[in-house]
Amino acid sequence: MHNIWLVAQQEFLTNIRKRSFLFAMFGVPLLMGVIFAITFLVEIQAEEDGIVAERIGYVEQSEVLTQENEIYTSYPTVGSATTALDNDEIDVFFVITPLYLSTGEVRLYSYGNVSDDTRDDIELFISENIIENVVSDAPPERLIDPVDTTLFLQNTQRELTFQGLIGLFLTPIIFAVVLMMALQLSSTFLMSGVQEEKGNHIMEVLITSITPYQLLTGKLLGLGALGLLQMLVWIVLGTVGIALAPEADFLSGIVLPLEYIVVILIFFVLTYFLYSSLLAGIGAIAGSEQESRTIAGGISLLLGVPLFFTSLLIFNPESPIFTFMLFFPFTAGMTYMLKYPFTPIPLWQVMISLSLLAVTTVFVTWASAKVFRWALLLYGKRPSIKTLWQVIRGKQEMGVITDTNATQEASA
Amino acid sequence: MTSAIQVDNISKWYGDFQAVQDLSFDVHQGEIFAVLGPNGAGKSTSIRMILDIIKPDSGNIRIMGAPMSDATKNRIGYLPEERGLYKTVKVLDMMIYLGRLKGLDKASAKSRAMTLLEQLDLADNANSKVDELSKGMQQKVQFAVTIMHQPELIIIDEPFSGLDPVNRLVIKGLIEDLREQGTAIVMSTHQMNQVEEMADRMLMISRGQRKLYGEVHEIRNEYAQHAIIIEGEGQWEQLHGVAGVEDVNNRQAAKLLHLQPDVTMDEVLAAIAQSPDTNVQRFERAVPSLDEIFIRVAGEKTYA
Repeated sequence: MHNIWLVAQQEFLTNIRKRSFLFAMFGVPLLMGVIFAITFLVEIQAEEDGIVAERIGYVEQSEVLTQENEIYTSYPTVGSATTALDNDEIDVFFVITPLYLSTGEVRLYSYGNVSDDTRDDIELFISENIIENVVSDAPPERLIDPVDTTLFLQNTQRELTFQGLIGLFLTPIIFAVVLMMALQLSSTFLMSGVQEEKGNHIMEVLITSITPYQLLTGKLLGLGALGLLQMLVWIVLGTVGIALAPEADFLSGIVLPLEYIVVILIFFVLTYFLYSSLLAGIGAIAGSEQESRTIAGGISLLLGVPLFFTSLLIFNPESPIFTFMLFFPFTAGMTYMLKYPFTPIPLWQVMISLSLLAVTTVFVTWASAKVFRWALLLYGKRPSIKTLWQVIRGKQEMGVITDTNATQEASA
Repeated sequence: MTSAIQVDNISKWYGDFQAVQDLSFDVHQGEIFAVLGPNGAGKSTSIRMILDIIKPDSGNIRIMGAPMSDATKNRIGYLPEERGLYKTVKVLDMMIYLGRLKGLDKASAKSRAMTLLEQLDLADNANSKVDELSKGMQQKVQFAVTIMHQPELIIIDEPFSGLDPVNRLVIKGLIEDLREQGTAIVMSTHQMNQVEEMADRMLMISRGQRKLYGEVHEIRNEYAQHAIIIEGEGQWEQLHGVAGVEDVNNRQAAKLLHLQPDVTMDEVLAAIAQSPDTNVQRFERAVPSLDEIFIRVAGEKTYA
């Protein structure tokens, strides 16, 4: 145990200082923050673009406006209003045309574009005036904005607002991408670490101190902790970022139930071990770092497969393809994460999914440890699938390829 | 006294190829033990079996009197032939990590590392990254890592490869000090002069089999010819008991005198003393160098 802890600590502390990790942990969210900020600023700018009127004139040709308001000045004709505009007595003026009641036509006159805010103000002013003439027991706000729907999902016992719906849709995707990136980073570190130690032969010294199983377990734990830390930092930074960005209110509807987070964490840990130990095994037998990166990239893509089905999820979350992906260990975690917000997943399905994932993870970790142990002293040769199968069944010895035809000592 | 290593009749097959055949030997505490053999003779396989990296198919290995265990591993220092270090880690940090893996606590790992770095004249580099060091410096750091946990058994593959003469002396001194302290040192090497200078006993394997085993000087004497190396002036062919005269390598001055089977060295010396025209600067038994023995033994079957 002591050795596992030492290796875990070493892996954690060495890799956390790496520039590539620091960039991924802080640089990526910062970059995304900057991109979001620019997008929002451009949007806000667009809304505020144009004249923000403080003095507004109007010409009434339909007898709709009856209210007095100090901002709004009434003019009898378009001509007099135009003169007032020219003399800078008002910033803009609007004309309620004679056909207003049947067409809703209102004409706005100004020098230059008029901001969205001012347009909204004028609309509200007209609405309030119209409601004045309506005989109703309902309060005026209801007449202006009569419907504010809240969807109550019977199956998940959760309320859903319109904002929440967007959040609901975005959250799992954000989560999934974060998981994928964290997983990819830590498993890449794991693999290149193994490559380095093999390449510089320090492995031979290490395995006279500790067993390959201790080494692999220590690495998995140390880098797993690093991956979790990375996710945590991203989530914290993301939350702070959202809190700081007032325009991002569409995300405010995100309410994640505790059970969802707990189950996701279980899925995360199992999925992490599944992929990382697989990649560690591959890292130990791959010929070069480049080759192992390519393989790692391909395998990590498997994790993202459920993301391709997001649109299907919206229209048909009950599709059997999701049940299949939920049971398939390599996509289980991601599928659960994506599907949960849309439709209830029966407990028995979650249990089956978790069990299959756990069994597969244990098997892959065990088999990878065998391959890892065997390949540690193997240099420059790539074993065949058949050889690997023999290794997993314990028929091959460390650092040795026993072929039926040729026999070589790995280090000779 | 228990042997540091006791190897009894180990064999190892790789498929149809027998890498090690029925090999037995002991390594004692406080001795330098050389393992020699041509490339592919089974040296690495034997060392890996001793280190419990691979298991023998048959036979038995005991380390410090018991089968290998995790606790025993911490009493061994191993320096493989192709050696490496973590390139981007600071020397001291790396030594502390590797020392702790060998069972040292953090504080003693640090103080041991610093002591060794000072001994090896590397104290100023403790906080440098490994890839900032010269190759010779890295070799010394590797050696320091091997001995920092004060192992009772040290196994080194080619201890002097890549070292300049000054650093070679430093490492040689350290190894000899360790022997004085009772450490058993196994060195696998091709550098025969180092074995002649340093090793107490030796094992030579060829094609997985034990060819020579025992005290270094006894083995050399065993292989000594019935001959004398002589340097000086005289009519050596006419000397009593001399069967033939040969040049020794390229050195013109020295001659190899083959003796008749029933003549002793003393009789030849007496004959030289009695002949008036001789002048002797060197007179010694023709003991072959390990190089010559190596080539003879390794060549016997491999190339015959």
